[in-house]
Amino acid sequence: MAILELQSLKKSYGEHLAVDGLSFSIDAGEVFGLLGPNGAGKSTTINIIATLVTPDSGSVRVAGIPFENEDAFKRKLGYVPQEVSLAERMTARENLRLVGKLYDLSGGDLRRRVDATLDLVGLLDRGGDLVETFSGGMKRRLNIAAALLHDPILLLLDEPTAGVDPHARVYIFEMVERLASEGRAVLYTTHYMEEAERLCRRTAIIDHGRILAMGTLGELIRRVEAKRDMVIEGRGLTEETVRKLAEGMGRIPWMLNEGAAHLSVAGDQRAILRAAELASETGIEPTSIRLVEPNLEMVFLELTGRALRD
Amino acid sequence: MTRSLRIIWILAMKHLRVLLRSPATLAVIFLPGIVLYSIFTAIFAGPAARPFRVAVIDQDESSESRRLIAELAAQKVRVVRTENEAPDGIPLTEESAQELIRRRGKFRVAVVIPKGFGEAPNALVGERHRGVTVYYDALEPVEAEIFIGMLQMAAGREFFLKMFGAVVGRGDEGEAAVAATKDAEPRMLIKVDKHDVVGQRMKIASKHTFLAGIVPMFLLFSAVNAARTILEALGTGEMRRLLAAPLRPGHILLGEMLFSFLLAMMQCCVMYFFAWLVFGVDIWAIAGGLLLLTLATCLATTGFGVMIGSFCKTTEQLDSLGTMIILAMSAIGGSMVPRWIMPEWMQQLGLMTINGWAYDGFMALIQGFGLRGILEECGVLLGVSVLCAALGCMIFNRRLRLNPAG
Repeated sequence: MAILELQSLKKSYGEHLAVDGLSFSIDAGEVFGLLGPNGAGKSTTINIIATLVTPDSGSVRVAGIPFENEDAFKRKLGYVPQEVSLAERMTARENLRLVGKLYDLSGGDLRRRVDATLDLVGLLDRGGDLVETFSGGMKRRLNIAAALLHDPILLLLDEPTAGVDPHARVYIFEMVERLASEGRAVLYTTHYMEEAERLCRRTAIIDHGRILAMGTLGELIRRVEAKRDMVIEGRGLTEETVRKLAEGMGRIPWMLNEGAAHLSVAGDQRAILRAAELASETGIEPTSIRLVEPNLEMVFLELTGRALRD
Repeated sequence: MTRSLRIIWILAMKHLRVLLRSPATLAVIFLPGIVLYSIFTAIFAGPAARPFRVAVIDQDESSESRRLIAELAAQKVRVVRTENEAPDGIPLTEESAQELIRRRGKFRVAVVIPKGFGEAPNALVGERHRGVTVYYDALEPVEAEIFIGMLQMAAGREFFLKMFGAVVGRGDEGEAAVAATKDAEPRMLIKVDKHDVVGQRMKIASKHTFLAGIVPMFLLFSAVNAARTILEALGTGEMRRLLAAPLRPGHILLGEMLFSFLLAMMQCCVMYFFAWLVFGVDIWAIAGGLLLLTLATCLATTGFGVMIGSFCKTTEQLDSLGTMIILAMSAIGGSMVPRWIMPEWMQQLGLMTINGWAYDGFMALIQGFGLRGILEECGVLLGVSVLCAALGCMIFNRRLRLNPAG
């Protein structure tokens, strides 16, 4: 059963088309990934679903409720902004109580939900502490808790692990998986491919406001199964030399990531020899050249022609 | 209580709770006003620090009256003949001079030289001498006595000139003549009909003047500080979280306004209570009017804060622009220098500011005009509040429409 349904969504700011006819749906219990570089239209899409921005055209429904029915629509969704949006000088419990009151919760019901939510995010024993005493990871968990208090059926998570340490990140992953297993639909945006690969049943790759590809990880990778990610490490790897190399190999997609060059090549060992030949001509001194099985990062590179973090 | 009111109340209380947990911020909000008020009041206490200006209404226009006025001027009395002190301004009348003493505190003494004064300029000519009329601020009788002494000295100099034909110049000779008149009971030379401005009490002691000026200035600073919550909410994602909840931008803004208004009211209470306790400002005698004026002033400063908070893009911009505007408004609105010693054009300019209207309202209350006497001031302040808040809401909504992240 579809919890979130987007149909032909369009939004422009002046001449700039931020969202261009977006359509997708998310089922109950599904974590859906929205991948795209900065400026691709992810935030605008999330903002439209969260009712922060009004689309020029198209429709959004949550559990069958159109967003025009704003009050009922909002009560179905929980929105977790990218930044920690809590009052530092209030306790965790006070923060949640405040949010609960905005959703018309009160009395014993509010108390129970606050405790249950604090328990869900592993902060029940720290409920009486001021948020300013929390670590970054704890604040992130509380940030998510604030969106869960009113028991929404759709959860919008906008890069919830940005700036979080690995331990806290794993905790957040487990929490998201648990929430989905309870039947909630989760829309998850991230810059990290490994997060999308681990969490998302389906992923949409978005750029210039349009969906370039959508499907399960397997379906997406099949789009590039004839391709491999050629990883070149060595000296002389600059934007200019790698671009020359990519042009020499037939204008193939490329990117520089953490000191290594990634080129999307047809899966053949001969490509390695060709790259080694051309490398010396372009001023690159490779120490290793290897072919890697296709992954989401490569799908993204192939579709957009740039790295996700560009 | 409707849901909207409840939401607004919840948001305002949240801001208040956060504020109350920050002693440093509380100190910054409440202490500077008290400190500045105490310092200014102590520095400018007493009449000695004020310029000695006298309104002179010459109904006689004779050579004798003109000579008397010239003698007064020679004794360093600042003779004022027109309402705005300009040479071509509206000439003062007996009524307008009293009004200026009573209402604006522009003078504390006015002298009226009646028609026919020149025919019998001093008491030595007997019953025909009509004397002069002096109006003075009932709370400053000492200044009236000083002026009457100066008047007698001026008349005494005239007398010596007439009787002995001597030209009394400045310097030792002049001083000797003045001393002689003193010994000869100079009060007898010109009969003075003294009138305090009965029933039109005038209290412009520094403790009132600076309270009237400093309170609106610090309310404005607090309002701008409270408006930071809008920008901080935009910057931290709190605004987006709130907007994703079942409430409207208006609730958020009104919650912030209610918080700012309550903070301003608390600040006023602290300031007025301090002024009563330490300087003896009789706030209880004007309690009704003061409450109305305080409500109007707090609403106006709150509206101003919301407007400027909605207009500025960053907290840094808010701080610098807010401080600049508040200091300018405070300078011309009577928060730094009492309005009554400003030139007329600046007093008019001061009415372009919240400070100016709040100052005038407070002074009107102190002068005993009561509730009716401050209706105009309160009306203007409420108008400013509505205008600023409406403009703030408009800008805020437009900003959110274009970019919910601010």
